[in-house]
Amino acid sequence: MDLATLVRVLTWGLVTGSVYMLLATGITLIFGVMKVVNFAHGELMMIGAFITFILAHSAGLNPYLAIFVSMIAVGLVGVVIERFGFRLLRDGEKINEVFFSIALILILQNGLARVFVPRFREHVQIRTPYATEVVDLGLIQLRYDFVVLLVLAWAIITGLSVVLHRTRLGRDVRATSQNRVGAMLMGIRAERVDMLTFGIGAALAALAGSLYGIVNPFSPYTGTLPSIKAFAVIILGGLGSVRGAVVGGLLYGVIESAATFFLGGSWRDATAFVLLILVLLTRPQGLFREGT
Amino acid sequence: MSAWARRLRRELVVAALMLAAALAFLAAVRELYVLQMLSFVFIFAIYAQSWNLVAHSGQHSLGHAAFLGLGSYGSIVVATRLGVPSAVALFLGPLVPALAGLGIGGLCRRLREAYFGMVTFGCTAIVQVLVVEQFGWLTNRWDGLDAPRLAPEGLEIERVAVFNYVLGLALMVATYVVVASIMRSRTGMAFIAIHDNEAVAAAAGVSVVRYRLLAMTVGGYIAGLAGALNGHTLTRHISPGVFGIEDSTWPVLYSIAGGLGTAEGPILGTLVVRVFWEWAIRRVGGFDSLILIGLMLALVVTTLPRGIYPVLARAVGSIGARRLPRGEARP
Amino acid sequence: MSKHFGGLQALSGVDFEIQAGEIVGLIGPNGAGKSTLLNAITGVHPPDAGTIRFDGHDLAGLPPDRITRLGIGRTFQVPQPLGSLSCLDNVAVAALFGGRAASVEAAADEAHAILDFVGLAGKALLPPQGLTIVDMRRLELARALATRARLLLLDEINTGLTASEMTEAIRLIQRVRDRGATILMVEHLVRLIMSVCDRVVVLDFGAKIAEGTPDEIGRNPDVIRAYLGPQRGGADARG
Repeated sequence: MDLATLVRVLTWGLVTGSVYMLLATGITLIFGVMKVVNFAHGELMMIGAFITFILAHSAGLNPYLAIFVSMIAVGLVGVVIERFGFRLLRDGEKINEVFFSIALILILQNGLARVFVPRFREHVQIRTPYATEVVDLGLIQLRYDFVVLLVLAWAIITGLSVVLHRTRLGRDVRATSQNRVGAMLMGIRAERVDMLTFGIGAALAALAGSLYGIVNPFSPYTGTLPSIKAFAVIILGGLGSVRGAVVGGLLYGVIESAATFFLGGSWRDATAFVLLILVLLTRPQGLFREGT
Repeated sequence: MSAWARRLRRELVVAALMLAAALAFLAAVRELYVLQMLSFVFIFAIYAQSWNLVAHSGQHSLGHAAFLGLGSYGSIVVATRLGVPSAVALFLGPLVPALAGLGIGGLCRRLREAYFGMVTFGCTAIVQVLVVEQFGWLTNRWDGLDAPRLAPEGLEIERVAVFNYVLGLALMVATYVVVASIMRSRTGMAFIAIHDNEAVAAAAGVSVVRYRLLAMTVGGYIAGLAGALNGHTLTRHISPGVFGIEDSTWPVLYSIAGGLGTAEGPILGTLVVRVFWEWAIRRVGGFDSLILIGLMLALVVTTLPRGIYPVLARAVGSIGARRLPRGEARP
Repeated sequence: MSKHFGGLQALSGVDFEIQAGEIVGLIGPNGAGKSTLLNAITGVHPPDAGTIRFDGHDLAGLPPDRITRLGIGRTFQVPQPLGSLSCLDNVAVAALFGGRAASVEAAADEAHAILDFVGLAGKALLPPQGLTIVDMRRLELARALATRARLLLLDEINTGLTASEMTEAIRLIQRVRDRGATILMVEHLVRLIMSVCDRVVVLDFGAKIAEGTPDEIGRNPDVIRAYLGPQRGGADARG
């Protein structure tokens, strides 16, 4: 295998890895603060992708600008879901939150489908004005979109990290995630943190979906598989750990890309599962205890 | 009367009533479409029963469709590739998801609820990939397989519908009795103990791992039976589409609607939700019906003071008091 | 029957034996490692080093349910009844699995008898949520007894009781011992320990600092210092 191919496998790995990283970060942030696994994350992802698609194709907006609108819109949806859904379930049995997640999947997936399917049938893909442009790196030529995608993902994650570690808001989020009661005793309004975190998680999902939709065809049902892989990444990286989600997501993307290249396309989706099974076989309680 | 029959007095009466009511209904109604809908209810009640039993042990599987589909595939492959008669294949096929249940249960045996949910959620996708890719030579990949008929040859359509109805009913009632029997047995008590508090269960001497595995294996078999039955009687076909979120969410819905923790719950829930679904789909179409059901589920879960489960757990608690021979007669 | 230890993160070099039929008290200030010790014995958090021998068996690496079946029962510091089951069933589960009752019905019979013994006979068919704290503690004890345990580990089973409730509790524990059980009691209340126990082991900062009869312990300067030392504030000692 020559160097050019290696770089190509690596780049594609980072591209898909960025999507997984964004998904995993959103899910893990939400869990860290609210101790809830959002099983409907894949649906939020697709809604985000679709909003970007509609804005780009019907309103003619540059997709990379439409992404930000989509993030805000889906972020607000997330806030509403938390405020009128999960907040009400906080005091009850944990299993109700799981049931509610399932209800969300039904509502969101079919809500999107009823708009999508009559008009678009099977799949769509977000076309960018730069679809044909490339960046020449001498060794290989990289699609311009890939570069933008990587930069955008990296920028948002860095921004998130700055917010989490350098702002008062971020401090509140981290405190609530580590010790909810302690945080409340310190005067932090945990309920506001919940809404905000879910909103951020949803926005990250929208971003992930939009980026995904630029390089892949998608439909209302496409969100499930990437979210499952994000779950696998989180189990490997530690539920609640943002660092684990970021590193794990990127790493997983590269591994999946390599596996696809060396073992063939039929093994692409199996990569996550093989990894997961290997981990569970050696450490049945997971790599990390919950909440670390 | 044997001790077993005495212990299951209530359930055996309910089973007899169900049989009587369903057979009376059959005698009265001959509309093919209604019979088919009820056949569907019977089969999916078995499926819901399976999920409910596994949930009884504290394991709320979010990927139950894996078992459903594997049961269909197992049975159909055994019947078509190995030439086994369908009636036998029907009971052999579910051994595949039983084994899968053992494997998945084994991998997840120590996982807490959140991790367990995530891994089982991914199970359907895992199985789908395996079925399509790695085992595609056996399963015909995305095209799927046609299923041989269970009903005897030469029967006209109306008779076939009656046959399917009676078979589905018989298996549903049998499954009901079996599951109720398990719930009231030593094993059932182990399940509830594990469900409530694993540490306390272990301190009481319950082997948590063993019973979790048992639940997943038996649950896998029963769900597989539903799948096999569905394949041979109603859909006459199986394809990888079965391994989707939808089929994983239905048994959860049916069980919640009917009441978790009881043996009758899944049957009642399947009937109610299915009838509602048939009504709704005629009025507002497929997508809206599903949205409505999702909204109903969300509403029920958020508005009951502490969700659905505690309400029913209290009911289970009082049933549990009667589960063992009545203590009031004692000095 | 004997039991001795080696090292553990929260415990280091704890070493002692318990003879059959004794009531041994385990005391120490907060954070001394008492609960850690119980968890180590019951297999919840096995020790990193050292051995635990019970009746000729080595308990290292055994899962908690196996240890229960070998004859060690425990109560939990914070009562944790199985919420979906009645009080009777709570005890019956333990009789079935820990105590090897032959059938569900036989387990129910045993459970009735045990609830009688601990004074909860009238509450058998109630769900455990409505119980008072005293009754919940009795339920914990009943559950542990139902496993036919020969060694009972009682974790602060008397905290929060009034003086008369405590007298009742002491009598109950003595009746348990008279039925043939050996007891290791973790307690906060030094006075209680003194009146019930044959021997006392004292932990502080994860190490054993004293062992002996209640009188010896009461006069031991190390023990007094541990409870009354500057960092403790003397809040735990009661004479």
